[in-house]
Amino acid sequence: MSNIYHDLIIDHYQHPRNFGELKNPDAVVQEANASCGDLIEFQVRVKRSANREQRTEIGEIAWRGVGCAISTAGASLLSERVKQIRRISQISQISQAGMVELLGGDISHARIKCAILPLVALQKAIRNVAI
Amino acid sequence: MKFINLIKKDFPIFNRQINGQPLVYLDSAATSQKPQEVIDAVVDYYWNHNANVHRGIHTLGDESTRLYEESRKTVSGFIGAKDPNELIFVRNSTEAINLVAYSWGRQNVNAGDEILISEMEHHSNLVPWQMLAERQKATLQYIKVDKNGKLDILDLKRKLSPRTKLVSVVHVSNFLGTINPIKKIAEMIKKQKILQSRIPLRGTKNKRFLQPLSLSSYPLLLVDGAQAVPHTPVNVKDLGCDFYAFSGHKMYGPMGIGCLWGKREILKNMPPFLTGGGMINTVDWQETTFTGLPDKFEAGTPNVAGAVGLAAAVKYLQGIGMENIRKHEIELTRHLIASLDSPARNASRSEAGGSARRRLLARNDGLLINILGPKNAQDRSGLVAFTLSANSKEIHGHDVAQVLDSQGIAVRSGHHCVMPLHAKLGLAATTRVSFGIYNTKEDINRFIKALNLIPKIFG
Repeated sequence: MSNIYHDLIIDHYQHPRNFGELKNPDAVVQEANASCGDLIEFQVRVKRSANREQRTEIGEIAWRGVGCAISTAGASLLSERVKQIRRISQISQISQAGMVELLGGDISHARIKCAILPLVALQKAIRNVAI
Repeated sequence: MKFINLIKKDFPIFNRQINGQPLVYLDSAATSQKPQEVIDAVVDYYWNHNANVHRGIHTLGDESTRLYEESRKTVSGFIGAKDPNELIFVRNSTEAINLVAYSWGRQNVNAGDEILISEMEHHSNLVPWQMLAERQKATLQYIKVDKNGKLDILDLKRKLSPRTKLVSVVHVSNFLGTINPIKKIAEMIKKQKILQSRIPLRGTKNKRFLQPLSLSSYPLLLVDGAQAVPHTPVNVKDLGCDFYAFSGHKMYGPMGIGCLWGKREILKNMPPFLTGGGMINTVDWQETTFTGLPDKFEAGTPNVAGAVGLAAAVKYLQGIGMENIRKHEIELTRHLIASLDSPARNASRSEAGGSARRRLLARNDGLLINILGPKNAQDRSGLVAFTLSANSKEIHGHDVAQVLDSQGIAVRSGHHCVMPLHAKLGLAATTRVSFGIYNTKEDINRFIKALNLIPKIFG
């Protein structure tokens, strides 16, 4: 385990980014991990462009929930990543391997489901807004 | 037990190193490790006796059948059953409970009836009844758990009614460690039966009703004994229950073998659960007649090696003595609770040169531990679930377990298949330490030492 709780994870676990609620979210998705009792909720707001029909980018993102260090840091890191890439098409392509990589790559088999939980919640939220 | 330190040597798995450290296994409530004798019995069966049972005339078929039925005798005797044929071999406790839910349940539970279970049930003694209640349009009711983690017996009394067809409770909680007063519950049910049998007497002058009535057949009592049989003497006759379910793998036996014990007259009247080979008298194109007990409930080729291994486990336990095991686990539990209990508070009070225990706790500075379930080791089995905060921040059970694993220590974390009670107590996940006969105080001390790493990592 020595490497699993490296500085990046501990930092995001103790100071989660984008933690909270949005005022008028376009989608709110909760995802639970039954075997852990973890619960992550992602809220997203689509960027309002001149052409209101276009829903291609995420404008705002927030999340909240309860979970272990891995799922908490995962949600935090993922929300940061969303703010970097913004584009819904790209966000929906983040893979499980990509998620593990985001967490620093050293996730044991037993903890994969902790790592994936935020990604599942986020991608469900994205599907709900992308028309 | 003067030889307790030698018991570890009976279990080959303790030769293993985990992350460079000798294994400390504190997850026996999930599954126990297996002694060499059990492994040998399974190997010997496949090496020397393997054949299908109840079918062949040949020598191996005969040997295999005899081994299987001897195993039934050994295991049924171990739980105090008079008749070995009252013991049905199944896969595990879950299957045993499902057998009753499907077979007895569909035959006896009807619309408007009630099934009474407790809030501390493992999902295995909850979901089958939820499904049955839904199917039969019956109601599932829960006996409350009080703030000390014990069953609220008055609540049970309140909820027993003429509509109650079944009471199903866990003998020892896999989450709180609570030992439930099964004998007392059985007596309450008996009173309810007597009460119900007299109901027709009320408000009638008809002499016919004054004839002695036979005792009401409901409610029945099922006990989920998965966490009891490996840890404490169990006698089904003495307990006064109607069904008793348990798993082999938690009592040092192989996985994939478990038992349902039931009273003969009840089992006899139940329809088969699974059907097929090995459980029939005659089959023609349209109709089948079934064999008697226990074969009626053991369709298909059974897990003979599993049964043989389970019997070896029973003999191993008998060799140590269940009373000795119980005493040993009380001692371990007392030591664990004393080591865990409010270390931060104790640490702040501790002084240099204090007792050994104080020094141990002083090293725990920054940890606050909340133990769930009864605080007295006498009232509970050898398992303790807790939540942990490091520097006022609650640490998830998975993170606790991961840090402990790095030190070669195996514990369980999560909701332990008791989700509704976790939700009621406002808990997401807990960490659980559970003992087997091989554990020592030294194991607990290593566990406590490893806990000290948590504030350093997450502080």
